Amino acid sequence: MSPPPAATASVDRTPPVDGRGWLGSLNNAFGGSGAAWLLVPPILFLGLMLVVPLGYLVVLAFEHGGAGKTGFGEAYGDHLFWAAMWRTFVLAGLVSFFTLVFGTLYAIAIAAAPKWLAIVLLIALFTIFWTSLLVRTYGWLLLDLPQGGIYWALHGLGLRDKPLEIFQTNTASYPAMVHVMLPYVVLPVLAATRQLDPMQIRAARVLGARPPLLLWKVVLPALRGGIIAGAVLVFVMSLGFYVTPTLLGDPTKQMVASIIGHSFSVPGAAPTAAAMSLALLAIVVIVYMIADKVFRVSETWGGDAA
Amino acid sequence: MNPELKLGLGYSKAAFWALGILLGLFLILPLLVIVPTSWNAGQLVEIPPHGFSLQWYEQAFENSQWTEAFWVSVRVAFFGSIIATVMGTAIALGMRRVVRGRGTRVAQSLFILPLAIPYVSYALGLYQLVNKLPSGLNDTLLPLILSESVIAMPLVYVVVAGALANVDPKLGRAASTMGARWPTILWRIDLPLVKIGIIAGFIFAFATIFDEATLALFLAPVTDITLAQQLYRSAAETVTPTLSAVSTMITLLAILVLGLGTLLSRRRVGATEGGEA
Repeated sequence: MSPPPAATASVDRTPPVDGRGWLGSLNNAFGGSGAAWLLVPPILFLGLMLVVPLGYLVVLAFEHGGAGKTGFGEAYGDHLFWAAMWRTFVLAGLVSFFTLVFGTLYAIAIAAAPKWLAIVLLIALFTIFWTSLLVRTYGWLLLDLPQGGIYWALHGLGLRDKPLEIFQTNTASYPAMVHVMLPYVVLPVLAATRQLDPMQIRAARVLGARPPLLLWKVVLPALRGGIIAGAVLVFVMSLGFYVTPTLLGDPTKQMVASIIGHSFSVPGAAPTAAAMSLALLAIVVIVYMIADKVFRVSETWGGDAA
Repeated sequence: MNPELKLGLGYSKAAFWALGILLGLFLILPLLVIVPTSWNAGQLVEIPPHGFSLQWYEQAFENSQWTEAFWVSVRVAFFGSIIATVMGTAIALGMRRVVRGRGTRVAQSLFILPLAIPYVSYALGLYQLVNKLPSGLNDTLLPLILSESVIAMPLVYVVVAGALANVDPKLGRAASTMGARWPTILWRIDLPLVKIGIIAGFIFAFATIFDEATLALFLAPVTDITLAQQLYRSAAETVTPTLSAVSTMITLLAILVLGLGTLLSRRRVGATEGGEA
């Protein structure tokens, strides 16, 4: 008579399920809990609707396009593609840098503000987060136009007499992209400020840490996870972003996503566009894998995205 | 909000407030320029506007291009978010029971992958595939609805998983010791407790799909244009006061709907889950 502790442990778990058939073995592979069957329909659905179309890009990129070369050959052999790739990389990198800095500052401002100001800042953040992407882009278009909002403000201040020349240049994409992406950094960092240990801050203050030291040694390390998760998300989203750079940017110096978008209306351009898409996807996956390995971003995304 | 942080920052906290106010202004800048141009009395978009009139709002309602696009968007968002909600909830419930292992890590990555993929690449693969199949699907809204549900699924998963984290796992164990099998536990315990999380997830999915433009631009059939597509097209052509009026109205609508969704999800999820979103 030995009541094994394992028996109690198995009672603690979800009830046993019969392990027969392929579903049963799949279920066992997932740890033997019956409710894991719930994962089967989403996996099948995502497999069919997400993995198959993305996999089809590979098939497509091996097909021959207009110039008698495969999609891969045509895209990767073209220096214009690499120029576009570089532009896209610079945009994504700078946009994630600026959102990282401004987003962190904004989150700290909310955490350090009196209640009324914190509420005002949160309302501004959520108003814009919930505003349609196209509406926001349209707003930036109105600001960027030669005689648009920015010109009006500068003119009113006596700073400029000539109409602006930023609409349909890639400079116009930057403020709009930072604006669109800012909430994706502010939200995880804001969640991290809630975890700031008040006692640690008090200890630092009582021991004589001045604000810069306090920020650098206590606050920023505590916010690091949120900042990195947000910045990585912004980077990968910016790489493939279509709407804002296409509407505001230079039509002759497009980002990769805009070039891919343009290919839909060009007969025979699909293989090249597929090869470009795969390059974008590969970078996204690599960045995600590195970030997940080093910083465990998937856990933060799982908790704070949306 | 954090008294110790305020104390610790000393006088430099004022610099953060000033920065916060400036960045807040930057955030609402686009709306500050859109809303006034929607009540311009003249024929064109003028900055600053002259006079006050609601004629452009009237125009928006009378123009069938805008109203039809609105209803197409509602249809796509409704069906897409139903699929996303069912699937996302199933993922959240399933992942909770799963023992962490190699397979689950792959599955987890698959479930959040739609957050990061370039939509235009995804649209290209799906578009080419659908056109290759002799199905006639390319003239329907089905490819758009299904693909939108794919990208909205992680949102529902995150919201419902957040709500589930507050459900005491002992409840399920108690039920199982009394002989309840997993469908019963699911139906009688888990689902009722996360009901509000599921509704909030549905609302977020609906709003996301309603607003999504990239997939719509490439996957919607020529005959059914969504509101986001219509906004894109008219912004790409000419700016009009009607466009400003429509933008103002859908912004108000989105704030109402998403504000409701947030209130719902906060009530359940609580402050510990970072439940702003």
